[in-house]
Amino acid sequence: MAKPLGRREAQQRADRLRIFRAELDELERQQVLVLTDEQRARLEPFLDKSLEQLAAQYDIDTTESQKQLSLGMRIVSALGGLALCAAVFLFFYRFWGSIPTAGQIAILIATPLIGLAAMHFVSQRERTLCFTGLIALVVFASFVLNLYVLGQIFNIISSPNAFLPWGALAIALAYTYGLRLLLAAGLVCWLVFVPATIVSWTGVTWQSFFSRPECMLASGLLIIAAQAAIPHRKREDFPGTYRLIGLLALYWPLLALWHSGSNSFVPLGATAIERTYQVLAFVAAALTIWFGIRKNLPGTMNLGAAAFTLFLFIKFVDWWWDLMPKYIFFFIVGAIAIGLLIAFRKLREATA
Amino acid sequence: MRRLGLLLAAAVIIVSNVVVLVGVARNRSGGPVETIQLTQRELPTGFHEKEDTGVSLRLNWSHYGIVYPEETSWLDQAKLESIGFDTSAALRDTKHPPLPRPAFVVFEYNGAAWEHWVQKAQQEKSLGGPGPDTQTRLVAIDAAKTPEALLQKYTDHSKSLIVRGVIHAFASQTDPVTKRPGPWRLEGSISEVLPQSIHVPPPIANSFTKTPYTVTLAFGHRFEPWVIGP
Repeated sequence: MAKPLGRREAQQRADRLRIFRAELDELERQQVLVLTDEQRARLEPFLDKSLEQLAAQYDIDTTESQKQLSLGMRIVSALGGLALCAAVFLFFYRFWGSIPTAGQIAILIATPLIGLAAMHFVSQRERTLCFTGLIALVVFASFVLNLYVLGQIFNIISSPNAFLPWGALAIALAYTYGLRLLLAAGLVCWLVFVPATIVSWTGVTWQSFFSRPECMLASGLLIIAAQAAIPHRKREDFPGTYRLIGLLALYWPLLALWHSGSNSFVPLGATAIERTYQVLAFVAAALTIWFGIRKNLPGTMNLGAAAFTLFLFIKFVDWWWDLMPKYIFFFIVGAIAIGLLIAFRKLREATA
Repeated sequence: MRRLGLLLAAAVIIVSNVVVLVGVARNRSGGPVETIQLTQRELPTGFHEKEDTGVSLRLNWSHYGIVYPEETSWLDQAKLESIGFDTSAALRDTKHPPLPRPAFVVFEYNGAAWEHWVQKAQQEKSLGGPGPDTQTRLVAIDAAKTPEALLQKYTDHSKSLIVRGVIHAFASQTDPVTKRPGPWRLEGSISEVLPQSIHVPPPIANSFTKTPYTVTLAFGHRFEPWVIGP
């Protein structure tokens, strides 16, 4: 058996084997293809052994019910992690006043470090990494609490700098254990750090980065470029998380500047800037759809299509909302949606 | 591979904490830059929920500028420009106020500015709500982009307090004195002082549970405060 490159490919192969077995049963039932006893005696053990090997090596799901259970476990793990994060926060909140400052600092620093040790211990005793993922969320929350509360204890003036180590820890844990939720958390932290730092260099408060969407735009492009530049042979599902966060970080500023050109760094009139970003928003969404189709990335294509539709709807509102009765407006929007569906169908046929 | 990742994560945690604690030590090294004694009027305890056992104080400064805009007339166009605001651009586009800027703000404590306000309020009988005996005596009198000039200008640190703050600027057509429309001008206001709350360490937290109380506050080289004692 050719060795798969990673877990995702192993899962895809297991799915193919499972579908092949089901399809073969159907063909036999319809008397289209009937294997001899000798062929079946060779095939069945091969299929069983292949699935067992894949399950043992990559901890993949070999049945549909296993797949559903895995999804449920991931959801429970994320919710449990969030609940434990809240427990850690409220514990500090409740007993904080009775602990001397040195004790407070020791607890704050020790909590994420003990969490790391617990992660290592648990990860060596489970294959699914559900509990490891749960503890990883607690470690991340503890570290966020660590720096935040340390800042409160010593009355430190707030800055975006804390987002750099928060993101670094989340990304380090994500790559160590293959945790997409923490990768997303880390990228979001850096998505705050980079624009807030750039904005603070201009002399305004760092919290104003939301009012300077172009800084976020640059960060979104950096994240999209990073997913293309960093090879992810072992973490095949990570580029999808990069694309999701990067594209959202790209669309939001485009939408913000669409309506508020005065927030741009570009020294042009607000109307000219707004129109330019409106065009750029459509171009970005269309390019995302094209890229998703070309690279066979359904998630990316859907995100691009959703953004394109949203932009189109906003444009229609800008153009027609005040000009016509509402029923005609929605009738036109519905008619255009049908037109788009036909266009997408033709595109699908063309790419088949 | 996993061990390397864990070591990297541990290093991030340890290095970040070291950087923070070194910053705290640098702020407090060589003694405070300024020390001032205030009361519960200027430093009331911050809001805290039932389960919150920590104690914090918040710096309460006068907002008399809302009632008497002429009291903040020192924060004029020239001052805003010196803080870094592009005043001409702000006046060209009056619909979009410039983004807030961090600055160093001087508060006079129980000084001429406070006395002036009390006299004026008593004359006009506009002193609504609690009387002057309970209100804060911290009145903003100056601001600058950097603290050096302010430290040289305001040397009596028992009467003046230099803190970090955030300044907003906005265009207005209303004359602050006549209250009538006039040409567009830029006005400023202090929207917050930093940090917004001041933590009280546990051994002395009990001193601030009952009013009246006094607080001795120190500020370090980075203008980050700490409570020395009652």
